[in-house]
Amino acid sequence: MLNSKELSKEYGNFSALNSLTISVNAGDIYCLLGANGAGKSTTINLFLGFIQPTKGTVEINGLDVSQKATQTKEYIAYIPENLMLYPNLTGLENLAYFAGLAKKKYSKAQLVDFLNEAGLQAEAHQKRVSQYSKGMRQKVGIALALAKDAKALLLDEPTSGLDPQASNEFSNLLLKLKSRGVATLMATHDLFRAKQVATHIGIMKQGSLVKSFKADEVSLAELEKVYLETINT
Amino acid sequence: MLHILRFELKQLLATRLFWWVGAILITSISFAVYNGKIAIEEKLHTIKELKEEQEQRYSNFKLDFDSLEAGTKKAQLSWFQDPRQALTVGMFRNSGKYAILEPKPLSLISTGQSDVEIFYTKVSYLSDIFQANNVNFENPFNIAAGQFDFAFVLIFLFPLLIIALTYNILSGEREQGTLPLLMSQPVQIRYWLMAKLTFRFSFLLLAVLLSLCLAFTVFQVDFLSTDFFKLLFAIGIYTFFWFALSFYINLLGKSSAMNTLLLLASWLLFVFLIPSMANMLATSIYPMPSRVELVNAKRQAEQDSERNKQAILTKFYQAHPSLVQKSEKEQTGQDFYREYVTLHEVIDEQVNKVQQSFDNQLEAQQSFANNFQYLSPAILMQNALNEIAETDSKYYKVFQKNAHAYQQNWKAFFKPKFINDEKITIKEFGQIPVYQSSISVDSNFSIQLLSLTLFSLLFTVLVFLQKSKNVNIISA
Repeated sequence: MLNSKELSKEYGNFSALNSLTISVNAGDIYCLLGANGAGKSTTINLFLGFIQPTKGTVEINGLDVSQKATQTKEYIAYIPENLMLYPNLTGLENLAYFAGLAKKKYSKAQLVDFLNEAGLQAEAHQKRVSQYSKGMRQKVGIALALAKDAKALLLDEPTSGLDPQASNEFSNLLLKLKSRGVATLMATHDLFRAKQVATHIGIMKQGSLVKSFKADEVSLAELEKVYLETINT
Repeated sequence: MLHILRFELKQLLATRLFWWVGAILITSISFAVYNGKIAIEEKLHTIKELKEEQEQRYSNFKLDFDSLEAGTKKAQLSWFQDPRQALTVGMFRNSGKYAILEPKPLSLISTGQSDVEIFYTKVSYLSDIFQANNVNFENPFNIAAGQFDFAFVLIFLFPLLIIALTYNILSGEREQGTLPLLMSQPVQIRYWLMAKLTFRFSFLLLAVLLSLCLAFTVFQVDFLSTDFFKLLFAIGIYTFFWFALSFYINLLGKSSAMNTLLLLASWLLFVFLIPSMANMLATSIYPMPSRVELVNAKRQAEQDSERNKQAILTKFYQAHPSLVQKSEKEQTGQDFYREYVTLHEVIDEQVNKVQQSFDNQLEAQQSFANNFQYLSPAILMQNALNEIAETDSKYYKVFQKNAHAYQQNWKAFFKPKFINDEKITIKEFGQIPVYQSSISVDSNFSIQLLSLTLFSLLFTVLVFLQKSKNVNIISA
C-alpha cells in the first residue's frame, strides 16, 4: 500500500533522507524510530506529497505521489503531532468539512457513528473544537480516517504530549484500524507504543534507515537497547 | 465547491469580522447615499427656485407687454422697464434666462467635479456667465477633504474591507495549524483557495449591491436605469481586481503579517500614491495658469478700449450708416447702451484670447493627469463612476460651451433690435431663446472598464504563473 524506493531528499548540501526503501502492506503498522532530525517527518511529508523527492519514488496504492498527488490523498489519512481543527466549528462540523473535502458524503448520524467509533464522547460532538484537548482532536483525526475509509494512515508523532490513558486509547484505535486492513506508517519517539502496536519497526539515523525488523522479533527491552546503540554509534 | 462554500458560510457566520464588515458596508453606503441625496436635493431645490424666479420675471414682462400694447400701463413704466425694449428683456439686470445642468438621479454616487463647478448660470447679453455668477461656492474644507459619497466608500473603504476578509485565507490556515490536515485531503489548495475567495467575493459584492439598493429605496432614488446596470458592472470588476490581487498575494505563501503589509502597500499605491503623483506631475509640468493674469488682461482690455473708444465707435458708425453718433448730452439711454455694448464686445474679444490660453493650459494639465488613470484601478474606477454620475469635468466643460453658445444665440436675437432701436413684437417675445439642456459627451466608460478588466486579468495571470513557478511554496 505504501512504498518508497531509493527515496532521497536533499536541501542544498544537507541530506534529509538518504535512499529509503520501505514497504507497508495492508494491515501493517510500520513504526519509524529515530532521534530528532533523523528523517522520520521528512519521510511522512514525502508520502503526503507536501515536499518533492530529490531522488526515488513514493507510491500509495500503486500511484506515484509526485504524479498523482491529489488522487493518492483519497487513500490516506494523516494525523500530525499536533492535529489542529477549526476552533470555531464543532468536532462534528470539522469532521463533516474534511470528509466532504475528501468527497465523502455522510448523514449526521453516520458522522456521529464515526466519532463514537473513534472514542470521542457524545457530549463533545457539538462542542466547539476550541474546547477540545489534544487527545480529543486526535480522535476526530481517527474519525476522519474512518470516514474517508482510508487505506493508509500516516502518523507523525501522534502520541507526543498525550497522557498515558489517551495514548493507550489511541494505540487501541490504531490496532482497530490495523484489523480492518489499514496500512499505517508512524513516525514516533515512543518505543513503548511502537512495540505495542507495530508489526514492523525501522530505526533511522541521519536520514538513513539503519535498522529494520519485525516488531515481534524483539522485546521492549531489546528494542530500547538496539535503539540506543543505533543512535549513539 | 458547494461543500466548501457551505462551510465557508458557517465559518464566516461564526466570526465577528464577518458581521463587522457587513455592518460597516451597510452603514457607510447608506450614509454616502444619504449625503449624495442631500446634495442633489439641494441642487434640485435651487433649480426649482431659479425656474420659478425666471418664470415670474418673464410673466411680469409679458403682463407689462400686454398692458403696454393695450395702452393701460404706459404712465407707470420708464423706458428701461419697457419689455418691448430689447435692452430690458435682453441685457439689463432683470433680463436673462438660466442655463442649467440638471443632475441625474445617479449623480449622487460620485461628487466628481460637481462641488467645484457651476451647474447653472444666468445668461443675458452682457453676463459674464462663468465668472461673475459664481455664487455656488462649496466649503473649501469639504473640497480638500473630499466628499463622503458612494465613490469614496467603494474606492477607498471597500478595498480595505476586502483586504480584511482575504489577507489570511491561506496564511491563517498555516498559522492556526489546520493547513497540514487540509493539504492531506484530495483537494487542490488552489481550487480550495479559489472557492473560499469566490464565496467572499460573492458575499461582499452582494452586500454592496443590497446595501446600495436598500439605500436607494429608502432615500427614494430613481435608480433603475441602464446606468445602474453599468454601475453594477463597474463595481463587479473593481471588486474582482482586489480579489485577484489578494489571491495572488495569498499564493505567495507569506505570513499573514506580510500579506497585510503587501495588500495595504498595494492599496496605498493604487489609491493614494499614483493619484497624488499624477496631480503633482501635472501641476509641475503644466502649472496652473494665473487668475491674476486673467484679471489684469481684462483690465488692460478695458483701458485699451477706453483709450481707443473714439476709433472703435467711428468704425461702428461707419458700419452702420443709418445711425448717427451723438454727443453725450444728446444721447438717449438706448444710444448710450448701443455704444457701451460695442465697446464691451471689443473688450470681450481681447479677454477671450487670454481666457482661451488659460483654458487650454488647464485642459492640458487635466489631460496629462488623466493619462495616469491607466496606472491605477482606483483612478479608473473614480472616472468610471464620474461618467455614470455625469459629474466628470468634461460634462461641465460641455455645459459651459453650451451656455456660451446659448449666449451667442441670445446676442444674435437681441442685437439687431437694440442696434436699430427696434421694439420687440409680441410674436418675438415668445421666441426669446431658451437653453437646450442636452449634454452630449464622448464616454470613456468602456475604455475605463476594459482597463480595469485588464488590471484584474494581470493578477489572474500572475496567479496561474505562480502555480507553475512555485508548486511547493504553500507547504514550505
